[in-house]
Amino acid sequence: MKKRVVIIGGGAGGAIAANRLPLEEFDVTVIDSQPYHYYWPWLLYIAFKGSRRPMKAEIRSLLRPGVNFIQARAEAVDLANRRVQLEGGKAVEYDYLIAATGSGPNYSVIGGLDKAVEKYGDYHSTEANAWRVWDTINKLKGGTFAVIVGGDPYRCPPSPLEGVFLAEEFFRSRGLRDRVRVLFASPYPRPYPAEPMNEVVEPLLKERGIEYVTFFTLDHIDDEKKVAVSMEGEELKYDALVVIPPHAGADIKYSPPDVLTQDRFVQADKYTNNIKGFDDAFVIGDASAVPVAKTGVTAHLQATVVVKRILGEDARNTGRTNCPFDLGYGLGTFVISDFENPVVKLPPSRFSHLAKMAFAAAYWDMIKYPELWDPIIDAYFEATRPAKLRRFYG
Amino acid sequence: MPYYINTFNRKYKAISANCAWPRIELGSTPRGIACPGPITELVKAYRSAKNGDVIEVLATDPGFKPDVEAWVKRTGNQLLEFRQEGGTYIAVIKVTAKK
Repeated sequence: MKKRVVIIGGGAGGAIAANRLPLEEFDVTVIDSQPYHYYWPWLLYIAFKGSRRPMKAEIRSLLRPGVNFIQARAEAVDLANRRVQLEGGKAVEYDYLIAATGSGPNYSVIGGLDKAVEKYGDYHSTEANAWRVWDTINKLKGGTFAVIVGGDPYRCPPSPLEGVFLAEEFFRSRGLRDRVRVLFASPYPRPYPAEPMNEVVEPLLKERGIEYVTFFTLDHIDDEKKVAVSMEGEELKYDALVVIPPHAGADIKYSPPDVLTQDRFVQADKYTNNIKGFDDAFVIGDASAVPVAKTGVTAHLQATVVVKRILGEDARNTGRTNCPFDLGYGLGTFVISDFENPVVKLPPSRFSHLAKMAFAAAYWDMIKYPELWDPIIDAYFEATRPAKLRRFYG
Repeated sequence: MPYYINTFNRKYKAISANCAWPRIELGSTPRGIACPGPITELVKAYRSAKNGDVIEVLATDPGFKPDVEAWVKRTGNQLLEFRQEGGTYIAVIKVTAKK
């Protein structure tokens, strides 16, 4: 009899895992509460470029024929009895589980944030909210545009500064740069928390006249007075603001419950993605509490490792990150590191920006046809190993 | 780079990875390495702390000292102690500046 693999979540990690498992050996089922797979990085380009390019596709259309898809909300996972409880009383049993349930904004952490998002939008939640940001920057003809990091964790480490750089480019291109002040605030010691990458971006912030405030821990937003207030009572005045919301894991109960952290991320081994204490259950991508960046690259690489492990190989994660970082004006860089090597100081280039755009263009194809793209992706990761790049860029 | 954060009512054991981003792990033995993590985790504990709470952060990254000193200076909280035990740097912070 075929082994049953149940994958909760049809995003990058879930779909990639589903499309890699050999169907002659496994009965593969993907469960998602809604029908779409979102290419989340595109929220940035809706928010700051008004891009109309579609950023979602039906999960069903991305899965190989033969992979089952159930559209239902998973309510609970019983790890000991290998069962996933669905809404409406149905349950699915598995031999292997892959939780790829992602993460999403938790607005309740910061007072007044839900109202601020309703008014100004954000680019870490929905398309509608990203369009609100586009409206916000189009309406703003003067004053302060603030981007504030609300707290950890959030999807895509470079995304707060990407928004700042693209906003600055937008106001300059509209001839409003002398009237709009662009302000960035974050609770961390440097604009970009990892020092080597900060050495790349901080000079760019200065060069472009973008103001920044560090060690600013956002407590609440008072939109009547138009101020963002820190935990120490420091006020930042704004005319429009976008906050990067702290994220939480999906609202799914686990048994035993101690596999979850306080903010509902699932604890796992960082090398194998095994859920703490279970060798037949895995968690990949944003949903996990393992100490790696919340990005599609992570989900992708972890999905590959987990599939290999299910097939009996002793594959292990290297902790590789490869976050494209848009620096505005057609420039980009990548945040590249792994468990053994700190972030590489990769200088801004047009090539990196083009690589980001080329990846976005090929994204759906990569999800659908792993056998075609794997050799290319493997070659890329091999050529850009952090240990290798560090010899050039320190 | 293992480090811990203790508050009065909670005990965090945190690790950070060598990555763009650090993460917290409850329970188990700390492991892991190098990242800009300690401040990130300090901020997380700070968010739920009250004035009078003491937060203890352990890090193995020498860069942690200037960062935590700058954080304390900027936020107006109190650094009760900074010491080194072997390869571990320990900062003890009293939360005093919250409004």
